[in-house]
Amino acid sequence: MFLGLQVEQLSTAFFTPREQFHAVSNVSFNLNKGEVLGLVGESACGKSITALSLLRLLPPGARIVSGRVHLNGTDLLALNQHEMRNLRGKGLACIFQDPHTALNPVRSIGVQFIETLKDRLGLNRDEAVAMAVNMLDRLGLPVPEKVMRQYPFQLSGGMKQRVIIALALCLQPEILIADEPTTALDVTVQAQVLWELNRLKKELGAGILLISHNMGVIAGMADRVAVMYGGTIVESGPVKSVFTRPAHPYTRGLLGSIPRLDQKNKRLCFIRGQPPGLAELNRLKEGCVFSPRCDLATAHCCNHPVPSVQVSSPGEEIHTAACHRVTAGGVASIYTCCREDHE
Amino acid sequence: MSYYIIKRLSYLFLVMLGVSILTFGLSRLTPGDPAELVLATRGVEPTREAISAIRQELGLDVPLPVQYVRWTKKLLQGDLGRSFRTGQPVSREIASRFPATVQLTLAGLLVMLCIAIPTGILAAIFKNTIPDHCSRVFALVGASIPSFWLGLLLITWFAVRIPLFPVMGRGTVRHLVLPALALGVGMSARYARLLRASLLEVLGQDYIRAARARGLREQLVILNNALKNALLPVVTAFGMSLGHLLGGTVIIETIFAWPGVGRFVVEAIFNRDYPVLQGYVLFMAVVFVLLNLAVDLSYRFFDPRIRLEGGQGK
Amino acid sequence: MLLKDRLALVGLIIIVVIVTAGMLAPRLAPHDPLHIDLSLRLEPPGKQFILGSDHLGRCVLSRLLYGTGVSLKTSFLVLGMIMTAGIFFGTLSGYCGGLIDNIIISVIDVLLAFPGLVLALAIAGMLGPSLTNVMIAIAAVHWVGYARIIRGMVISIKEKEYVLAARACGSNSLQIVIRHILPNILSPIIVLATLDMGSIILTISGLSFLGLGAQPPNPEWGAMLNDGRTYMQVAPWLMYFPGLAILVTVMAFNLMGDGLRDLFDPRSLRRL
Repeated sequence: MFLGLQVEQLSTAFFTPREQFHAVSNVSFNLNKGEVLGLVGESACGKSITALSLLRLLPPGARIVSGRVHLNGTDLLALNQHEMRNLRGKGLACIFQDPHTALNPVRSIGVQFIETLKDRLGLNRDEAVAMAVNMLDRLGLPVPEKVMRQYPFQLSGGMKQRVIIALALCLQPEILIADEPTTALDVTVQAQVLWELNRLKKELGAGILLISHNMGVIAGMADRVAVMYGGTIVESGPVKSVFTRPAHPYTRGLLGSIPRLDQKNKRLCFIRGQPPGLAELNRLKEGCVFSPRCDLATAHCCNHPVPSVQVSSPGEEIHTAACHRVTAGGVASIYTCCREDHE
Repeated sequence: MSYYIIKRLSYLFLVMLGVSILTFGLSRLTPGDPAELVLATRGVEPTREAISAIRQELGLDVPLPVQYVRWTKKLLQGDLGRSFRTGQPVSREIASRFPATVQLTLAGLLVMLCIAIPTGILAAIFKNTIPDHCSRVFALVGASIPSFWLGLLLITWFAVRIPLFPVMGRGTVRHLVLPALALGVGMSARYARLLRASLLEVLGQDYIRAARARGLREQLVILNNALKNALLPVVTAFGMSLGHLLGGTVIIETIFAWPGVGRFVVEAIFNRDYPVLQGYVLFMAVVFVLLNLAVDLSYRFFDPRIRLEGGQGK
Repeated sequence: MLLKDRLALVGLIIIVVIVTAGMLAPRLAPHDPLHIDLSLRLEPPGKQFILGSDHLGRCVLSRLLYGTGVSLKTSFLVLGMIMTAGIFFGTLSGYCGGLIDNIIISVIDVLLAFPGLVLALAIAGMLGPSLTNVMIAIAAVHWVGYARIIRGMVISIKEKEYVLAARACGSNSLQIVIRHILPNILSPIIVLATLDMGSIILTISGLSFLGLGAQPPNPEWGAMLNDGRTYMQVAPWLMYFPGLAILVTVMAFNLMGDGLRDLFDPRSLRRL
């Protein structure tokens, strides 16, 4: 039995009376306990919908169409509502993007802790308070007793995010989904929150699915990374391998668009065009979803199913890219980096 | 907070000043000479001397501003004048009937809450399914049905055909059921929809999704996390329609012969008992303004953001 | 077409039918609504009288048909008065600002301090029972709501670029109000008015039911219910039909109002 989260060929679509729009198509990945998997991509590429699909908390109108999600061997999609609810928070927890909206504004922090711990862990009030204070303290919040009495609007963004993390960790989740946990925070606080997350990974041994559009965050935190574009995973592999030897044109574009101090005179590279909307994705179903923005795309790319090419050499950790133009082993042979192109 | 209350109170004072001027002016709307009217009710021949004597007695012989000041002075001592018909002080007449009206209003309110809150919650949870459609139809009919007609229907069905409840009058709790229903049902329709809309908005919020992601039981999500937030706008709207409730009692009291202020004032209108009418309006305005203040304050109680920041209420 | 739009259309159709019926009442009515025949009193619905007869032997159907005209005419008139006063004072207050604004807004605040129906009842009571007085009373109470909303809208429109541009080009205030401000506030006001129509009909019939409005023998729905009250056990049709007429009419206006509101969806209107 595989310990951890196993996602196979997951597809999620939005349904309107006439059409369905695939927001996530055939996404597969594994996440071991104690490991951090980075899920990276531009906004609206399906990262959050993937997270919500795993939790089965999709917004109205969206449904999982196909695929399998296993947590420690349990098929999550086969669970009934009650079993799924029991699993949320304990088996699979989630920290959402914006800490400013993720806490109920009219209830005090303490009340929200007590409610959750009473309901989920069956603690009594005093035990719940003790546990909450202890956890807030571990997350470095000064005077946890005071925080417990406060309302969300009285806390800063970073404090709120730490409260949210504390709330999630009280339930000792096996897998923690962190959906852009630092995006809404100040840069100084971001580092702090990431550091806390890292520490907790080590202490609790939870697997973390770290969703971010920030390549820096992923590079610093993740063990492995999956790059998502247009609802599909276009490249995945160990962080080091993906960052040093990006194979997919999209990954290359992403990495190329990060400003670097050590290459001052190089021009920043950008990916032309915009990420496709849901309607456009439907039209691109036949071939590679990135083809309209890809400098290397050929007619073949647009209407043939994309193969998954293994980039890593045998014996290495697996690194794959979904691209017609990438050949096994020979990553950079087909084109030179765009940085040089534009000079 | 205390600054806010002081500001509210000074505003209240200005409004009450306006209310008193308006109510005073209202009595000038009456057709004909009030002096003649008083004479007529007392059965005295309206001779020239009698009229001027009564004018002096009523204080009608001085200019209007002076009359107003005198009237207000009396008002501040709780003197609303005397009923033309019974000769009793209006304040006493109203005070003796007010508890009955309060009882009816509260019962109507209870009916409204008992219908509106569950209906609103169900409609929101089962959005666009059968319970929601039912609540939509109920809301439409409830908002359109004349309360007096509903009262008559209730009497025919549940007091005459199936004699479950007494037809009219006040006394036991069973006397209260039908009038409270007639008063509350129409209002509940409106509030059920309002609560539904507000609840749907709250249920779409991130903190609800976060609560669900923690695996919180759905009852807790809705009752503890969503309902309180969803009630905020409902409470505000409620303050605005208190007037409907207060006005509504007039008609319901008349139909069910409920011995409250409303029925009393309708009788007064037909007896042309103007001091009673005037006193009633003033009294109701004061009650209404104070209730609105209470609703406003309760809003602040509900929302810690306003309560603790001491900021401006909405 | 969405369900809401379809319902709004149903509302519109019902309104058209009702208005036509009211206008054609003299032709459609099988009997004279005022004709008293005591030998035919309290006849149940049947061949002689389709919807039965009342305590004075008058045809209920004919009275209902004529009553349609009475109810709709009075309601439209009240609405006209309300909108005229509301637009006039609202625009004046919002556009001019300063002292005029202060005076008007204080009057509005004071009037809003009264429960609406209670004040209308008092004004109607002071003036004496009659349909005209009821209309005056309702209009006198209702206009403030409109004035307040219109004032807000005018204030926000006043600052828009095109108004400033018009002023820069030398348009005078009256021209600006007529050409730029009124056209912009008209559509939301019409939505509001449609939504309000139902409650105005309810208020008029309610006051008539109390005996303050239409006086006998004028066939008004609320007054008919009041007349029939005494006989509701022996002649329930006297109670069912007028009430149903009010319900259907008010419902039609509410349906249409809801549909129109969704069409415009100014969220601000929702709070009213």
